Amino acid sequence: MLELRRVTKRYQTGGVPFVAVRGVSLRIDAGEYVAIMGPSGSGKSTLLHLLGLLDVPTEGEVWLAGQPTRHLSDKEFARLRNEKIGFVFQNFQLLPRTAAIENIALPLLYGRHRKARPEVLAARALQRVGLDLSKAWNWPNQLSGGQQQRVAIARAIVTDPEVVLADEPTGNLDSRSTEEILGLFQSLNDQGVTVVMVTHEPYVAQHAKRIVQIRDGRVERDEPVHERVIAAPVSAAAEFLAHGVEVSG
Amino acid sequence: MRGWLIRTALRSLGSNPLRTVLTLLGIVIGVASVVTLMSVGKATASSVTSRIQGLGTNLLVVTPGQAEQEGIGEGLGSAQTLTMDDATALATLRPQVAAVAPDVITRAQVAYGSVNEQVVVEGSTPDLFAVRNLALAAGRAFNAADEQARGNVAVIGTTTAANLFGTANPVGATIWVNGVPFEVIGELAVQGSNGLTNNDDRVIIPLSTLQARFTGTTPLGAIYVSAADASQMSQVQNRMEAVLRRNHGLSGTEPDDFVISNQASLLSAFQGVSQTLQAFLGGIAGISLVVGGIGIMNIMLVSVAERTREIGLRKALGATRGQILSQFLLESALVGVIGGAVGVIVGAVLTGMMGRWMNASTGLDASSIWISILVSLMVGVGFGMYPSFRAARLSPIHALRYE
Ligand SMILES: Nc1ncnc2c1ncn2[C@@H]1O[C@H](COP(=O)(O)OP(=O)(O)O)[C@@H](O)[C@H]1O
Ligand SMILES: [Mg+2]
Repeated sequence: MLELRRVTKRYQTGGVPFVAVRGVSLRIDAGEYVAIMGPSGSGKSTLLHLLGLLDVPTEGEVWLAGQPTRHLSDKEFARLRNEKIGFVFQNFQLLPRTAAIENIALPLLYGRHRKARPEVLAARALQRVGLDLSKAWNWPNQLSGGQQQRVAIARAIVTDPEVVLADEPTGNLDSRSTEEILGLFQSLNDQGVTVVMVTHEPYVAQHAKRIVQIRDGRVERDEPVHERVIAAPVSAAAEFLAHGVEVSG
Repeated sequence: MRGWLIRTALRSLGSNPLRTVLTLLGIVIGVASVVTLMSVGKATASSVTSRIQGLGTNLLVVTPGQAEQEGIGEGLGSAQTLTMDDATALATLRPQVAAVAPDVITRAQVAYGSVNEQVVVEGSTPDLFAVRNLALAAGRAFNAADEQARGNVAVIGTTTAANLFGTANPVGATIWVNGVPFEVIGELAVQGSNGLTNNDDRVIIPLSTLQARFTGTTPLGAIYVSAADASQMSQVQNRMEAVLRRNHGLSGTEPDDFVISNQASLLSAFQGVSQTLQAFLGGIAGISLVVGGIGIMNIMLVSVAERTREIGLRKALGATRGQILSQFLLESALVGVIGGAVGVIVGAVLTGMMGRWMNASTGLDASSIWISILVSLMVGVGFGMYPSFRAARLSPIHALRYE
């Protein structure tokens, strides 16, 4: 469903060229759950941005749903980002002074999603990520890190994309929030959504079905996970418990 | 989608109220000055035009100076060539000429009781009232006997009357003109203002008195002549020219050292001046609108730089270039329109104040309101264009990595 064909990404900073991704070929099929691992600066984010059509390769080709994307127009790129791909950015990237529910509804403003009214779709996404509706009108700075990340994930899935790309989604979270986010990805993957996440924590990567190891912009290793850890999927009951603990604690 | 765009734009403008207000201020000042200058100019023009038309079709005005200078009315000519002799010579053209009124204007200190003010003092002959259609509200005009006797009698304008006497009846009272006592024998009916000078604030006395008491034998500022028959204007004008040329001893090739104007030539001369003046004022006001527009551009550029991350995020979530462009354009257009609307209101208030100050009836017309708002919308869009294009062209990833 997503494919990199001998993709190279070169940056030009102050006249010094830097190769962040070197001729990577990588194929991700529908329904997969992939963890991209590697040391800091190895090119993981760059790779994910290329997969998410946020950036264009210097060389090589990114294919989406069996189609090359090189010659797409700005409009077509925007539409693919909007409809096919849900992106969870490093550091949440929520709009400040904007309610959680409005952050979640943001992608709906830019596409043609006529299934339901934006508020309804956003509220539904909020519930899917197990966030209490009472938080809907909180600003991001009135939410915990785990809650902000759930808002970011809700925004990524509000358009029902086929693939969710997440850049270090548990990077700044405590262990309980990490567990909840991994539970969310598990439920998404159970529902048939392709999940690709970048992480440098082996324990987190262990939840995926496949690990791609990156070093210096190259794929070093690419193998399935044998002893998977399955996170408990998010349910209303689990959310209730977590919420109850939060209040009493 | 539309409603949301406007909400986003308003929210972004509201997130930095002081900056938004300062940006608006540029447009407000620009539009307010355009509106004010335009409507005051228009009111002035129409008031002067109606006054010139009020002069009557058979009036001819002789002023000193060369025709090339296009002198219109009192004092605009440079050469001081008109004398009482000329007036007397023109009077010989009766009966084609009905009345001749030589005219000198000076300023003097006029006092009554404890009130003391600078007023225009005009000296002329009794014919002036007929030639210039000066109606009286009370009392009488001075007559040939007053003129002959160099009588200390004065006819005063309504503004002068109000300033000196308040609501009391001035007729019969004694006023002091440069320390000389004058009996007020009449009060003029309201003449109106031409925007620059108030024709109701003046004292008219016999020319003989003016010259004897104050100015001595000075050249005339103007000679007002009324033709007996309005259909014979050009013949009368030609004969007047011949008389004056002979009187001035001008040989065949020498140009006239005086100008004879009639209502039509006064109107066209005034309209020429008025149009130039209005274009000039409009231009100055327009420059302040451009400055306001540059303010918008400046603020939008700052806004784009500050919101680079937000723009990148929106593009990453599926916003097209066109959608980002319209978001920012809408914002600057809103600044333009809001600034324009507030500017029109401020301009209306200023116009009203100017009108009261100048004693002229001023009013905004609907077209200047719409044009102002339209122009400020165009200024907003025009100067918002470049910053908006910059925002729209940002790459999502560059913007997201931006710190
Ligand atoms: N816009 C850019 N210009 C220049 N160099 C960049 C740019 N973006 C990333 N890089 C460089 O590319 C390399 C890979 O970055 P990144 O993909 O963010 O790594 P990772 O996510 O694995 O930490 C880093 O060395 C980084 O400095
Ligand atoms: Mg990274």
